[in-house]
Amino acid sequence: MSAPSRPQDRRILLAEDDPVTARLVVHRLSREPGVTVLHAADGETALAIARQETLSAAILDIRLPVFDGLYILGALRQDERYTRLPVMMLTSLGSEADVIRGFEMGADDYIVKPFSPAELVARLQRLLARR
Amino acid sequence: MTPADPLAAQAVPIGDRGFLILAAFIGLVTLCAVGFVLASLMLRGRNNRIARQWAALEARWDPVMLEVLAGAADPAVLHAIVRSGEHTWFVEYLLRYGRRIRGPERALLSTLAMPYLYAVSGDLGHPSVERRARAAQSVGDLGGGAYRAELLAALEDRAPLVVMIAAVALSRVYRPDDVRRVIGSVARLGLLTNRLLASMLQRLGPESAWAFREVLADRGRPAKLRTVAAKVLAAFNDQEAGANAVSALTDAVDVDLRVAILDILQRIGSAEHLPIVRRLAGDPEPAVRGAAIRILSRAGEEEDLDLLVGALDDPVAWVAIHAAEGLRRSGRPELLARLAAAQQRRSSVIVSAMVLGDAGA
Repeated sequence: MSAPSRPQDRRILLAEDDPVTARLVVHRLSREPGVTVLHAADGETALAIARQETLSAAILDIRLPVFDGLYILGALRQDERYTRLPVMMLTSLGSEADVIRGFEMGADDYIVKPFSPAELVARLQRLLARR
Repeated sequence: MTPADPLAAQAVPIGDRGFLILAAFIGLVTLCAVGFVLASLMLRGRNNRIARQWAALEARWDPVMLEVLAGAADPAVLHAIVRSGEHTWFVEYLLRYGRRIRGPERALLSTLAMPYLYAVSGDLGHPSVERRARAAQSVGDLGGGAYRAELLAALEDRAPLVVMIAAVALSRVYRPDDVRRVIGSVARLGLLTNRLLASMLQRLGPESAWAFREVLADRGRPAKLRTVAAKVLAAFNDQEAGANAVSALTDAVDVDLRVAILDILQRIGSAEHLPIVRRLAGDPEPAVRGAAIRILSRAGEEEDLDLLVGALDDPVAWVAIHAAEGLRRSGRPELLARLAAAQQRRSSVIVSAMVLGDAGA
């Protein structure tokens, strides 16, 4: 991954179609120093952002219009810039099969909705620090 | 036709009468169409107005709300920008967030809602079912237990929707004293499926199993409620339910109840429960017979092999399938092979079981 390593320069892709959830995550992450959140409400836009930008991490909702989160994850992992990109999946309660599939496809972590925004930030920071 | 002929003056030729009927019909259809279009326009206009109102409220509340949830602003700052007349909207706004977050931020939503919930709780007595249901949901989701008495009263509501919402809300703020009333209220939700009711009551958690055992043992309770209780106990894998299950099986008549009890035994049963299961393997009801054979196919003993072989000829295919699976599990493939070759009525079932067994299914 050629992602920037300085904590002050992190671009996080958020693929989430629910506007309330997106607002919560964007607001909370944007409070972190040096973090820019690039929000996409559908899979196609998310992939376009991933192509145009250099991402530091991605948070992908599984259920998305056009392309779902697992498809985006697969596409990211095929891009040599993103083979080691920290990816967190957002999933609804009860969709364990999706979680397992996500891990098989190379997701690093997952968070179940409803979720705590503070916990999401903490887990993402841990993932970023690990890479 | 002359004006001097009064009968002729009143008569309308058949062709004209047909035209009048057609014209009246077309007029009626046109009127209905116009009415439908007007109603649609009015509904759309109303929805647009509501959407605009929401957009305006969110634009005003969101920036502060997000700061409050992030711990960067005091709840009082948000309260200060909620105008009178917007209290119900604000509670609804908080519910939208409440469905999406948990943890410390979720508790903060209750704090934010508290000053407005009293007014909303007044709707629990509203004539509209929708308003009562919404009020129950609001105080249940955001009241954090403060409206327990109101929710207990809502369990007696005449509308099943309100009862259901109150029961679910009370299961979140579980108190041992409430369990009996919550379970009792469910008995009135007769239109809902047993599976749905059981899934709703499972929220009360395994610590409430004692109350479900009590219901299962009570022969005076409706069969539906006892069935739901049995399903919940099965879902809890309640180890203490065995004695209640066997006792209830001895005189239960209702098919669903008996199948639900057998499901408990399948999960937590032991060898001591097998005699009653064997007896039910010959029950005239296919669902009961099938459930019993399924248990014997998984937990039966050597003496049950003959019973399973006999069940291969059961007129109901899936009873025979359970029996064939049991024989496969018994580690006697040669017995299955012999039966499959014997041109029995259920040869195909036996072969299927063998094939599935070979495939590791």
